[in-house]
Amino acid sequence: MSRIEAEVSEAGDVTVECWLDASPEKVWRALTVPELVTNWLGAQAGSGKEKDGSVPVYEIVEAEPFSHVRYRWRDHDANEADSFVTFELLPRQGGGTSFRLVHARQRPAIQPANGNSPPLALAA
Amino acid sequence: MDSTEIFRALADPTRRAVFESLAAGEKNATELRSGFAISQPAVSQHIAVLRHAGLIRERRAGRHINYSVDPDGLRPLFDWITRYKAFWPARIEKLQDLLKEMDQ
Repeated sequence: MSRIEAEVSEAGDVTVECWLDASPEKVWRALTVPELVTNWLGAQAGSGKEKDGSVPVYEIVEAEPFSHVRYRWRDHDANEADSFVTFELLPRQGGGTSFRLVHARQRPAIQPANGNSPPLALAA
Repeated sequence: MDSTEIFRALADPTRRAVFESLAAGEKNATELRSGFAISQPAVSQHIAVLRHAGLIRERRAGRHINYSVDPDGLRPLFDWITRYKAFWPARIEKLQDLLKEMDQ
């Protein structure tokens, strides 16, 4: 498997794109079931108002089954304002999931429901 | 200084151009304005936002105030990017391990 690399967009967002050897439904569970999220991400679910800053806190603010999840993200250690992590999932022909993550310091604009562009392009 | 504030300060194209103009060298407000089709109050406003974000500093020189880029101003932004550029690939590798262990 090729090494996973993050890119930085012109706006300063951190982006990762890769292929995952699991269905979007399975990846979706890993991104939304709290015990599973803690397992891989080491973050805890919460509203971000927790005083204890030992681990980052995420809160699911948008969720569209099997295709789109957005977390509000706060890392007390980093002494930062809230940021937003968006995951886009697309089933890939032949199996697996095209996975895209965008970590942005501001919440991206709501995309139009009838937009012609695919969500992946709009998340850029 | 919070990287979010720096990011917001530089999100405006004109303000980013003002910052880039200062990156080329120290300028006073009049010199700074000459490169842009904007009013003096607008330039002052952009300067105030950039100063507040810690991106530029000022130095009094006679009757003028000279502005220049603060060399440490972009560091919080750089640190944020460096942190998460390393963080996410490592986490996604863990996600891949988890997906292998999960039942369909």
